[in-house]
Amino acid sequence: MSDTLTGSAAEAIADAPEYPMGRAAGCPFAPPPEVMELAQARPLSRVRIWDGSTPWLITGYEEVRTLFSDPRVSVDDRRPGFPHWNEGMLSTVHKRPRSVFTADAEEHTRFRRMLSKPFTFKRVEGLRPAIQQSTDDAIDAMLAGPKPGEIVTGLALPVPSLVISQLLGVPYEDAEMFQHHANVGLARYAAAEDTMKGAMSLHKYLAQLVEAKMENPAEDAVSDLAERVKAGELSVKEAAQLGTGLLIAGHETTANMIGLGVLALLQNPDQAAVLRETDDPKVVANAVEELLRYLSIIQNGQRRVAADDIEIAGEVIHAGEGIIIDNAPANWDGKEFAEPDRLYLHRSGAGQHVAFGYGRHQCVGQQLARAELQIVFHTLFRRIPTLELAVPLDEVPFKHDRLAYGVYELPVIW
Amino acid sequence: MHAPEIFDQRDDDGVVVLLDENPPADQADNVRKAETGCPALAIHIEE
Repeated sequence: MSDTLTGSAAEAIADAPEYPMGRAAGCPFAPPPEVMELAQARPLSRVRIWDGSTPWLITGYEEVRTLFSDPRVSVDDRRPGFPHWNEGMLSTVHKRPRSVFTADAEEHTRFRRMLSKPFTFKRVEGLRPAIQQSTDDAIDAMLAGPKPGEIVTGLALPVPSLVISQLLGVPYEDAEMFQHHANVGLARYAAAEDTMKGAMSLHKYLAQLVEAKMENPAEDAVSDLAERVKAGELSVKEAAQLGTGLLIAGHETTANMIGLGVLALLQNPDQAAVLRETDDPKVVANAVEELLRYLSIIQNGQRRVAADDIEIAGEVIHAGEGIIIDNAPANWDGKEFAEPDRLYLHRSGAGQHVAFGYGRHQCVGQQLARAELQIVFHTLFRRIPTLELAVPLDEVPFKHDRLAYGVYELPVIW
Repeated sequence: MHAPEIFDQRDDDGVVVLLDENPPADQADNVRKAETGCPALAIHIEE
């Protein structure tokens, strides 16, 4: 790059605040106040991350959508300047197989199409009865169990893990083992070793399942991947990697959204009443969009790098500069959402949120997530109308330290 | 799905399928919703 930095750009870099930033005590649903301050001042700013580099943080709603859909914005984490999450991600970058998360353009399309089949509108609609059954079973068990009950282990974890194991095609006799391994790493005090062992067991199990489904295919996601292996498009290892990716992306995120969403509704009883008192699927659907917007559980930003110079909002992001797209402040951008800090389930335009991202990399499983959230929130507040938090809000343990924000535990009474 | 009479999804990979190239006026709102809601930004409307 031949041009020298102007005074204000050099200053912005020198003064770049540390990122990620912490949430304020007592405001568990709000994005970190320092992020909101940056967002108030301008739609993109420089921040400093763990390795001392100063990528751009994108906080404006319009700019987030523009960059998410710009093909010059790369997800390839091998490119110099890519703003890695941490040292571990940087040091393993050449060891990790390419995936739907780190591939651009044609390569990305190839991976993406392999994963899309189980998430089409029709296949997801077909899963609704199974989701309803899992939800009812979980609530039955909670009502029959001791008080206080606990939402995370009682409802938020079991429903998505049962659904994803059905979607993948895990046989009934393996379901319990599968769920154990899927959930062991998600515990609050999970040792790194347990998390690792859980992930390895799942990967090994999925590789065996791919091989079994090559012999005896059925209507499920692992059979779809097994078909690609048979066609020579994928190795068994790659197929197992993609299956593990589906599991992790589809399970922990939905579980966090359930736990945190239930808490947000308990803290806003007039809004919980909206869900409890309706039978209109449109009202329920809008309520879920608003919860997704309000809570933006994917914290600490989506990581990208500029593959070319990009002019945006009066700034130039130069080729090779890191880009962190933060969905949470974009979903609280007052220019797009009036009174963004208010949870309002009847909000019109709530569905314009970017909680699932935007553009070609946006969440492939979002229709499934929507179906699960609609069924779980509606059924829970219909069946247990007197549900209440069993501890003071400041005793609820929050996941400040995870990729997806949520609660570790949520004790409730009724 | 916002406009099931105008769009479908391919079973194999979820790619959008156009069922009606010239949708009737009473479908205009639904088609616009489908355009803004399409996750892959695959729908473009010419008026």
